[in-house]
Amino acid sequence: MKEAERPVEVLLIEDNPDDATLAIRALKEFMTNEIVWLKDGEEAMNFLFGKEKYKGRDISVKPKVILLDLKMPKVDGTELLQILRMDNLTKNIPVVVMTSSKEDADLKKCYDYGVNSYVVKPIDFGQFIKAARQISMYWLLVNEPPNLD
Amino acid sequence: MKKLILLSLLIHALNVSQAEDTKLIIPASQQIAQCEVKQATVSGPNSLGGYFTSLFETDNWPARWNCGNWSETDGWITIISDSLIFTAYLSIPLLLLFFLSKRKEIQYKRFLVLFSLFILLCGFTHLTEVIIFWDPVYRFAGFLKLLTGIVSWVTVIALAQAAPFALTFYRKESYDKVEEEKSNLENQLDLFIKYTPGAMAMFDTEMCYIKASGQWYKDYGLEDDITGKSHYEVFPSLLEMPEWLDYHQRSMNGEIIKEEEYAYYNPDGSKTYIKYEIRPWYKDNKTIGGIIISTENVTDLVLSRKKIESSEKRFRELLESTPEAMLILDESLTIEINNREATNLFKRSKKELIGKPLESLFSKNIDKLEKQLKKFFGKKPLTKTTYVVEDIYGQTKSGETFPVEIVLGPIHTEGKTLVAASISDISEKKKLEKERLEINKMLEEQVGVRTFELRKVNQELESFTYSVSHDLRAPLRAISGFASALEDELKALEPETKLYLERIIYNASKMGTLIDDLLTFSRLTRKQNELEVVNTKELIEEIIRNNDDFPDEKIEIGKIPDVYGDKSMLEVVFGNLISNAVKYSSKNAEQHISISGELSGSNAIITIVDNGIGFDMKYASKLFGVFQRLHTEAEFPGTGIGLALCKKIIDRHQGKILIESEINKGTKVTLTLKTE
Repeated sequence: MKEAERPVEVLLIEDNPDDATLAIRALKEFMTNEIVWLKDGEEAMNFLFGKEKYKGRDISVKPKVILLDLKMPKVDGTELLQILRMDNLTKNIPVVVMTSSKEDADLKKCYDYGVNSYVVKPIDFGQFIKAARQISMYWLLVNEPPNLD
Repeated sequence: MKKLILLSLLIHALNVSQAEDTKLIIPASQQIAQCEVKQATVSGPNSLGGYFTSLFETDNWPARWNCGNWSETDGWITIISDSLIFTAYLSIPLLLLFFLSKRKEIQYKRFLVLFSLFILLCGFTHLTEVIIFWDPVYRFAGFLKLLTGIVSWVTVIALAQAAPFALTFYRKESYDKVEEEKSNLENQLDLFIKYTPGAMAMFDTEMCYIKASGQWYKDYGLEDDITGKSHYEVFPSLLEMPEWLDYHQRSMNGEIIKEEEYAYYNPDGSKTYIKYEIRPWYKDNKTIGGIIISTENVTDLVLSRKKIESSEKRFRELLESTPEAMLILDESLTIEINNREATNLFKRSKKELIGKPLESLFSKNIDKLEKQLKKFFGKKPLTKTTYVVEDIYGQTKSGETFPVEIVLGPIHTEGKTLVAASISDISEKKKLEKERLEINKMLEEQVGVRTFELRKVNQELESFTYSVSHDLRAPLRAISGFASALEDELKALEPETKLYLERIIYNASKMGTLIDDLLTFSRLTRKQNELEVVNTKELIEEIIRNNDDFPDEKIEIGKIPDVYGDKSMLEVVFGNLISNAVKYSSKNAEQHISISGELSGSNAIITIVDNGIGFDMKYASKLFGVFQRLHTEAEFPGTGIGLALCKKIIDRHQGKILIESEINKGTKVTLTLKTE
């Protein structure tokens, strides 16, 4: 199975490699599911809508949850969220914002755009792992996505 | 009287005829026997003078007793009857004369005199008839009868002449009616005099009262009847007032003297004003019978007029002393009154203002002024005191214009409305206003520039804090994360190595908390208050419920009033204070924290009391400084920002925060916040 063909469970959109590494490490401890890490909003859009280097990817294969950082180069988290929510293809994918920002403005914007969860990244690694696991578990295992087919 | 006359005439006629009859019945034989005359021949008087000198001549006739056959009876009956008639005829004129002497006023005296003479003469004719029985004075009797005849006819003629006049004589009934009418008239006149509102008195030539009206008595406080009394007896003080004596005298001579307003002082010192008129009255068309004085007390009228005059004077003075130019306009919008200031302002004399229309005084927007002025007149006039007319220009005589502001106000006088216009030259004001506007504009520009700069700085600060929040935490997370990962990967670690890794993780975490607190602090500094009524008790309970580190069972929450403030900020305050209370009392086995509140006027006083370790009050001044701590990190972890934050928030709520503490006893925090 080619990388692009495999079913994606978790899509991690994060520009900070440290945070990404730590998140992947935390997630892998309890799941074997496929985790795809993308560096910024633009790449995420290409991936989800099958453009540029992801041309030809079966876009009907949708991730079960998107973990989204807010502050990113090119297309940032809130912009990406807005785009995803406006497109029929992606509007039902659960999005969890994981960010360092505690700013009310960010929080409000994300909820306005229809975010499913908003998590402030704790500095404490233990807590970080805890948070990452809880969120992913919920969206992967508990949540029943609407059957669109 | 008429009857009386007729009756006497009749009696006389009868008497005459009787006398003749008596003569006729004398028997002829007796007549012949006794009719002896002294003279054989009949001699008559030769001339009129002879007739009168021999008036009592008796020689030609015999006495009646001797002539004819007189029985004693016949003779004496005749004699007695004639005597009776004579005495009666003598008595009647006497009675009439007596009557006349008593009733001097009686009219038609000459008739009565004439009638008396006629009766008297008739009486004497009868007397001669008696005398003739003894003394034959026939000549005299004839003469007397002639006289009587003449007088009788004179009386007849007089009566005939007087007949039409006599017909107008009143009967007693009509006389009574006239009398009654007269009395009625007198009565009415008396009533009229009594009740006429004018004080009037009528005097005779001696200045004695003939009549005085009721009002006269009332006005001069007279109680007793003064009719007949002298004016100077009633008012002795007049004798010392030569002017009045003079007036009375002059009026007696036909002059009419009057005065509209005469003042005199009353005994109590008050002044009385009267209006008087003294005029003569005439008995007939020529003769002055006395004078009539009429007076009217006009004190009230005079006083009220004087009051009006003085208030008018005051009004004028006020108008003149007003520093504003004033014009008073009538309904035709012409100037009725102006003050000195107005002549100065418009550089026109009073003459050039009074009676002049508005157009000559103003330029630009006159129609607006006129429209406003007209509102004060008409059927539904404005009654509000003032209206300001702006943007209008005054004009001097030479045509110079100047901006003015006019304040209009109605003046309601009796039956007339006027409008007072107060006019102020606002040239200076306008100039200042223009300057002020320029300065304002300049300032506004400056403020705009500053605001823009500030906004820019603020934006920069915001993006800075955002970066801090996001970017500073990321490396810390990485440090903490990879240290944990390392600890995880390297299973068997020297205890020291493990400790070092833990120190790395702890410090990274501590740095994170510091950043968070600093961010909150800076965010609150920038944040606008969103004020509302906050259910404090609910807020505190929520804070405690949401924080796992707070031991619910050891925190007692009493009655807490609602406060007026920013909920999110208050959440930070209570969160920090409860956190402190919990933290510093955590080492006490019997940890107890109590939160309660009460109302004090429009303030809520909320206290948070713990039984923790407390602190020395000498360090109290350091409590609210940023990064100031009274305990070591090892004793109690903390960043030293919490109370500084609380203080800042409470200050922004115009509240108070007071902390009292005693070492090892505990700390009491008292907050005072507004409830509305």
